[in-house]
Amino acid sequence: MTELDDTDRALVAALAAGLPLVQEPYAEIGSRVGISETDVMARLRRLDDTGVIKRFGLVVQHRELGFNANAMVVWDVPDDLVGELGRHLSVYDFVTLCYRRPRRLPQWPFNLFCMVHGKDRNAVRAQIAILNEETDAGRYPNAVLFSRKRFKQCGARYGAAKETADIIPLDRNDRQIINNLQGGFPVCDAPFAEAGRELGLNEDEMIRHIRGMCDSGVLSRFGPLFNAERLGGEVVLAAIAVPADRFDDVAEAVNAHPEVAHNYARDHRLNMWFVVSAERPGRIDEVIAEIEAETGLHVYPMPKEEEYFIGLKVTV
Amino acid sequence: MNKVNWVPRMDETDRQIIQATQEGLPLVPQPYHAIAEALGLQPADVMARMQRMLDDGVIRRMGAVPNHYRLGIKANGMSVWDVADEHVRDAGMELGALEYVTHCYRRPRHLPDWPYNLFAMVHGRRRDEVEAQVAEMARILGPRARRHEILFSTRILKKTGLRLGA
Repeated sequence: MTELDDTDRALVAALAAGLPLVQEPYAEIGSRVGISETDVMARLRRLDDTGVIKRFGLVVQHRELGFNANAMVVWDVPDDLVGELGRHLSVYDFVTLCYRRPRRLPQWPFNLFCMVHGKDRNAVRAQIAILNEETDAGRYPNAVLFSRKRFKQCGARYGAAKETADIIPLDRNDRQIINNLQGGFPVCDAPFAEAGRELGLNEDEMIRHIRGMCDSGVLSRFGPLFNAERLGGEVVLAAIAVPADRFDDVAEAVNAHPEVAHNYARDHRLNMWFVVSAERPGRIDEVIAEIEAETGLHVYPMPKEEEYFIGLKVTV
Repeated sequence: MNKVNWVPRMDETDRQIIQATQEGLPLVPQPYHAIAEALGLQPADVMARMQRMLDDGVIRRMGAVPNHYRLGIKANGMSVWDVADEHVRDAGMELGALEYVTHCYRRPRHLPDWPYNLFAMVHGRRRDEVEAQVAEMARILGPRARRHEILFSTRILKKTGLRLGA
């Protein structure tokens, strides 16, 4: 720890709002703190050298500059290779953070995180493609999580960096909300107040409990559950019987297709089950043909022929 | 029971609303007004469009989306059933009505390798709980189910969320 004296502290406080936009900013700061321009510069240099000041200059508000999209990209990298890959990724200037974090098995297999910023989601996706290609990171299982809107939402939570226990205790009101509000949230001017009336909770209590459950990860999110097929996308489940000794290689080949959204190992002769989704009609058949060509294995497509129920509701 | 292939007309504004809400509603007293403000729309327009998406089934439902793992529901079994074609619709509706069945679909058989045409996902706290639920499902279907199996997931190999309206 670097020792700061009272003058250093006063200097840091005076600079917290930024450097004065005048011709001689250090003289101006010095006069505010009661020291000379030379003393200001000497102290700033020392603070800079010792790392008390991380960076001196522009602190960028990404959103205000039109960097409206940012994504957290995560990979599951073998532990002995994660350090080297992290160093490669952090070289790119569009990567603003790169960390190794603990896995949370089984629901969170990823151990390498980085943030990628760009003007829009397509730009960010293109940058992620560059990372995956050039550093070979794309050979590992990975996922892209775009950031939420800036207003406080209950967005997708994956519990990645959370240190909380796996199972979260719920109070009576939390249970009420989960059991009664997995659907039917009204579309009206003040929906939390309206939904709360039936549960005996006021608007403020509703928002507080829902926010609490979002923050703890009990709720993945609070809002609409969309039906991808109704939006014109096609989604097909498919399965492969993979010889045990080729399992990891085949998983890699299958996962390399961006159209493959989920892939699960299951204990059956058909031991690999994955979901292929695409917007363009016919694309799914192409992807399946590509996977067959790459692996030499038969892919069994299992498209939905009729849907009887999609509930996904739980009771607690 | 839903037809799988019907796609309603959606315009650019609908897509903007989807993008703005697919990760959750703003947790403020007037969430639809907040979305309207963020997108430069009238609140009444946002509400009318979201209500239409609900009516059309573009939004399956709206409200709390629980994380099964965080609630301790960690076992997921895909139960698969061979049901004669003339019974499969009734069987699907009966299984789909069970509280622990989260998805239920008819899918094609691939004979001789894969004789099953009805799929029902079952979630539970532990494997034995899922097995007990599947045993109950087998009792409900009776002789209509010629054979069945449970495929438990053993490893997640890839999981990226479906991103909509991009």
